Amino acid sequence: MNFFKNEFDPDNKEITKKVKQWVKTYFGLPDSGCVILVSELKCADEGCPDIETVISVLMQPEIKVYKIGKPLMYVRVHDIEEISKQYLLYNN
Amino acid sequence: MENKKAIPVTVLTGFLGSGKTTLLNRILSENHGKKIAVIENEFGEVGVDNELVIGADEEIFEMNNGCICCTVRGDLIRILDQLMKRKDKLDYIIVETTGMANPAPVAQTFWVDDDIKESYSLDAIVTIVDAKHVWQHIDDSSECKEQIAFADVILLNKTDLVTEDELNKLEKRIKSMNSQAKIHRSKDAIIDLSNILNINAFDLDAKVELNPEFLIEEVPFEWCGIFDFENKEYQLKTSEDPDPSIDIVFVAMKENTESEITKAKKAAIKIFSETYKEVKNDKFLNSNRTLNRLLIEDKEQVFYFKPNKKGCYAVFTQHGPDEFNMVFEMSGENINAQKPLIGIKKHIIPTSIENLKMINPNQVNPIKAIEYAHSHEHDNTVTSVGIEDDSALSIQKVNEWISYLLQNRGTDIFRMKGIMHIDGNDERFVFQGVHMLFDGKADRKWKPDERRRNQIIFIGKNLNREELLSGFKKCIVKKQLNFA
Repeated sequence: MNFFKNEFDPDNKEITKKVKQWVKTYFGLPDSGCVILVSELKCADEGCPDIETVISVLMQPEIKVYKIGKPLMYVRVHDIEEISKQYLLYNN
Repeated sequence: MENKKAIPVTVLTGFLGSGKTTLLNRILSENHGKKIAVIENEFGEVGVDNELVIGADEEIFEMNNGCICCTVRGDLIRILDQLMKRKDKLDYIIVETTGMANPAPVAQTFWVDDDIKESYSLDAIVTIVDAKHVWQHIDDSSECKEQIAFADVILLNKTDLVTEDELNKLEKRIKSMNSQAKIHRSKDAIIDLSNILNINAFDLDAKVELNPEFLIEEVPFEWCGIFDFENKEYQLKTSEDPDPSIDIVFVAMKENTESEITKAKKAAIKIFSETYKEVKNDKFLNSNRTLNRLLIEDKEQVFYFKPNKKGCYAVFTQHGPDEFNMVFEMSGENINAQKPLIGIKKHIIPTSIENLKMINPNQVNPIKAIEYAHSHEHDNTVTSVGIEDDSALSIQKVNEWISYLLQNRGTDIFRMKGIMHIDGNDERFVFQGVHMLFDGKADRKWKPDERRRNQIIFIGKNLNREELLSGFKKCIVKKQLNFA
């Protein structure tokens, strides 16, 4: 049994997979030529939430970074839908 | 990181001309039977005809504005994503960085996303150093310092161009910056590949090993004198110190041997992190295992002490004795101990035993004197800070401390690594960190005859040893006095 509540590296594999799939769907991303990264950041800046979810979309030739002001485990499909609007607005 | 099927990755850093390409060619041409992919920035330099040499263009991107801790390599992510599709055909990946690259974004790339963590395991950061020309960069180049600080393995190459003394000097300098890296020497980058590949430096499932000498290069005192004291009253006289106080610790020893001095030194490192006791002019100081803070005024001063018993003592001082004109004298009517110190020359206590001369017949000189390197804890030089202690730690307090460090010191702490003794748990807690990325977990059980202890190493710039020790001490739930 792992006694240590590892707050620094929580096991978010399942939710990461889900979020990646939502990003792909709502952003309308192709099956290849694009990489999605899902990370959590502990931001020390004043005014920032303690933990943010950062979604990076690596397309050629550019990289787009989106932030959701809560930990990954609380990210829901409507959060992705919301940030997808910024992406679609910029790309259409 | 912990997936056994993950492909190991070695990151190869080093300045231009240090021998990276020579080493790469050597690795690729060796008959190891492995399918190795090389991701290199200086594309085309690797001379071996290999279909798996992939060019990269150092596309760095920030996930958080301006924070190095949140910077990763976009080009690497794209390449790694492509290689995932053929990972069954690959045994190993080597990422070569440019000479001026900061290794952090490369290392962080392997921690940033679960899919990457599952598919690849960062094996080690290997830095090649040109033994002759590195002196041109080591003091001024932040990239050079970072490459050394981040390294798990350092290859001192081109050893044929320098003398043995120069190599020793360089090795000492490198160890003061990164006490954990394993250092190898080579000519023409000839090295047994088992020293640089598949060494599991980042794998928490592998045995976490810290160099047992990791405390040696970083001590909070600059001088130690070994004295033979009687069970009598002594005077410690000082004058002219630029600092308002001086810390001094006495440690009784069984005998004047190297092993006893090492024990006393370890004890002193711990005592220097404890709460000090202020001692004013004309007062007694504690002559065994107490951190005495002598309050120094702009005049000659006398402090008194009386050893509990006759014997050998190691006296550790925060600064060299010449800086505050420290001298020991025996008290007593028949001894001329009242001689004014005005006009007394500097270097009253010889800093080396070879120069020992009796200036004052009442003066008590050390039978041995040892100088330590000045601490660099408050400047921006890259250093290592090690903590070793047996005390059990509160897991909740450890969480708070590490969280604080990651958020507030993440930029300056390049690497951290260690083993912790958590209160009430029979398993060791092992951890690794690169800037703000941290990986930690319960490891194997402590063995019945094993000393449960904490061993932690921080490597970075602007490291404040006192602050790190103070944070660590707040995690202690049971204080054990023995420090050996």
